[in-house]
Amino acid sequence: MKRFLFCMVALVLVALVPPMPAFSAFDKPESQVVMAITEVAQGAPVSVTINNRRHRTGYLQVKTENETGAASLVVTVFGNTALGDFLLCTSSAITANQTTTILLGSTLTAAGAIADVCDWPLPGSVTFTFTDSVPATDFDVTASIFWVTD
Amino acid sequence: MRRILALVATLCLIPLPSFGAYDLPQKQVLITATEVATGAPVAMTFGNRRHRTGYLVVKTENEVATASLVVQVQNAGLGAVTICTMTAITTETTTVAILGSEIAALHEGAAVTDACDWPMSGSFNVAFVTSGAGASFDVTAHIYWVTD
Repeated sequence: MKRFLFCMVALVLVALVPPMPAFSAFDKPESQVVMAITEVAQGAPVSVTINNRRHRTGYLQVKTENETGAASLVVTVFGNTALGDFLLCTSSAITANQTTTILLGSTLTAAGAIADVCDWPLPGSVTFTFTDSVPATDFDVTASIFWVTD
Repeated sequence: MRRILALVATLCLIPLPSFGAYDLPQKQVLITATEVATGAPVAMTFGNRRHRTGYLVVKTENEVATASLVVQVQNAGLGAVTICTMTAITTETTTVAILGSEIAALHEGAAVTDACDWPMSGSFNVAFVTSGAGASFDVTAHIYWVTD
């Protein structure tokens, strides 16, 4: 009986390990796919909402491929609340097949290969909207976030 | 047997705060639309155990006359210390301020109209004050915490 109880206690302890904060620190750094490759055409913007329980700063990387015509893609970031979404960031227009990096939630200044820096920390729920503004054009877009801070 | 059960119960308590840390913490300041009329300000005090920065979102509806709403946040202590006064809200809109951040308001065209530098303390007050003759707004307000 004692051995059984001892095993049960050990089992409970093992089950409790993953949520402990110290262990969760091993998760970092982590990335999150915002959007698998998706065609974004003029007149058909694509919005993706992610739950973001604990991250405030991260690199948003946007890869544009297979441009049709002279497309121009803008990424807007919104914080979501029950009282309405609010704009946090608008990226510079992306006009070529390339990988663009935007730092979200930082007060640094854009430089080098970092195209945009958006100051505002990310709240618990965030929507990314990908919009192509040039008629009869499109991009195939992939986007991921590489989180920096909790 | 009792000792083992007591041990298990005690150990179960240890990780509970870590679950809380992963919440999407939201403080409902004015849960439902509350009428804030001239001469009848609404103020509340909240305990705030661990959050220092957050987005204060204020929604105004059903304006009567020409109302002007000011939202004031105070750290509560031996005397209330004003840490933020939002720009007056004069239309039916949703307005966002960030509390406890040094970011300059209106930076990069974001829809955050006010940035209040001072971090939130363990207890704070939020006061809603309408001015304008015979004026009122129905106000809802939430805080979306960003940092502990």
